[in-house]
Amino acid sequence: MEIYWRLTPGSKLTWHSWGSEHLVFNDNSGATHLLPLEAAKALQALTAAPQTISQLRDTILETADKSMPHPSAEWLEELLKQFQQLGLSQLISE
Amino acid sequence: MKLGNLSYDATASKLTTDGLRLRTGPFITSIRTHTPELTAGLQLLYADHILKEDAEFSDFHIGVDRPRNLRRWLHPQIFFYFDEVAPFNPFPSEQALPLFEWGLNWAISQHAHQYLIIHAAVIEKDGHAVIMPAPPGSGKSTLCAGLVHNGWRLLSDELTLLDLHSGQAVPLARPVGLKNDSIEVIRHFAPQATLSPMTVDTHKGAVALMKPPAESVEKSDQPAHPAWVIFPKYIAGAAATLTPHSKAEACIALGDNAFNYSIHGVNGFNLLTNMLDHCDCYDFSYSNLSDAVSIFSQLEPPA
Repeated sequence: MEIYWRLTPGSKLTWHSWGSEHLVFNDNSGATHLLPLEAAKALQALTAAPQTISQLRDTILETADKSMPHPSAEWLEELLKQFQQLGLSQLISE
Repeated sequence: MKLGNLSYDATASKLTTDGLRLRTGPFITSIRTHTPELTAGLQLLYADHILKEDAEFSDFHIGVDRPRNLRRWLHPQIFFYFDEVAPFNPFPSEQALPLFEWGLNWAISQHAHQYLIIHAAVIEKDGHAVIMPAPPGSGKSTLCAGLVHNGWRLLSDELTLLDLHSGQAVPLARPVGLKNDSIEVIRHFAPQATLSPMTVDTHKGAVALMKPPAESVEKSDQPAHPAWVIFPKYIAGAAATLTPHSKAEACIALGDNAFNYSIHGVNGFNLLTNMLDHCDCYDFSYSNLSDAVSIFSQLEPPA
């Protein structure tokens, strides 16, 4: 059984970016979050479809700066837990 | 007719009967009081504000008065009334004037949701506005008071009103609250400034209110497009220095400093982000007002 993460159902996200800084407004919570690039990519990927951590990592790496360190699975898991605490993501099993 | 054209007796008569109706920025405020200190304070600080005797509607109905019990005479206290209800515990009666200002700020920030309201000073020159959010003790009001006596127009010292449709800052030129050491600083830096008598031992320490410049009050119907968001901080001995500030962090800070960001939801987010697309953002540290005025005079609006 694989563990998937998804965007919290009913979420409506509005984005605005300046360079590498990404802001997202969550209509569900009324909160605005400032995200670094990789976190923004992860949340945008969850918006498209539920993802495993491995799939998320591949998605981020597709457009990553190859000269920069790549996000680890542990970092992504911690990020997703933070998204969960903020009401942005949920854990599902399929 | 301006309040300054009305005699003390005529002013007191209106304040003790039907209420004095003043135009304060985009609002009509109806004021009632039997307190001579507040009557004199309003006459001094709002002399250039327009009376709206013909107004059929007042946005705010404010009262500041003593209770009708023994506390009227024994260690007299004073209440702030909004729509005949006292939302706060009483204050010592000598604090009537600052209580009126704090209370009116509260009334606007809690009810004027046709605007996004940010706890920030806002000033303007050549059509370009500077928004200055800052926590208490940062020197925001001192800087604001110094700048509006050196070529900048006061839109507000406390409440930045952003129009949800145009994104412009709407003027609300009212007295500037000065605290503790800043009172003497402004007395020396801007001797032409009119200050109220000092009220001591308030919860903010010693307080004096600075009358808004007449030109700022006269231009109360002229909004301005924000061009800069500047976070001021007084640091003893520091040189006046502007340092670029991240727009994204500025957006978060403006949202945190807004009274009603959550009420406006995504419209508030879009308003702030669209505004910041056209603003330069800085941190500003200073210790000397003359140097601060010089730095601000060199600001170039974003292209």
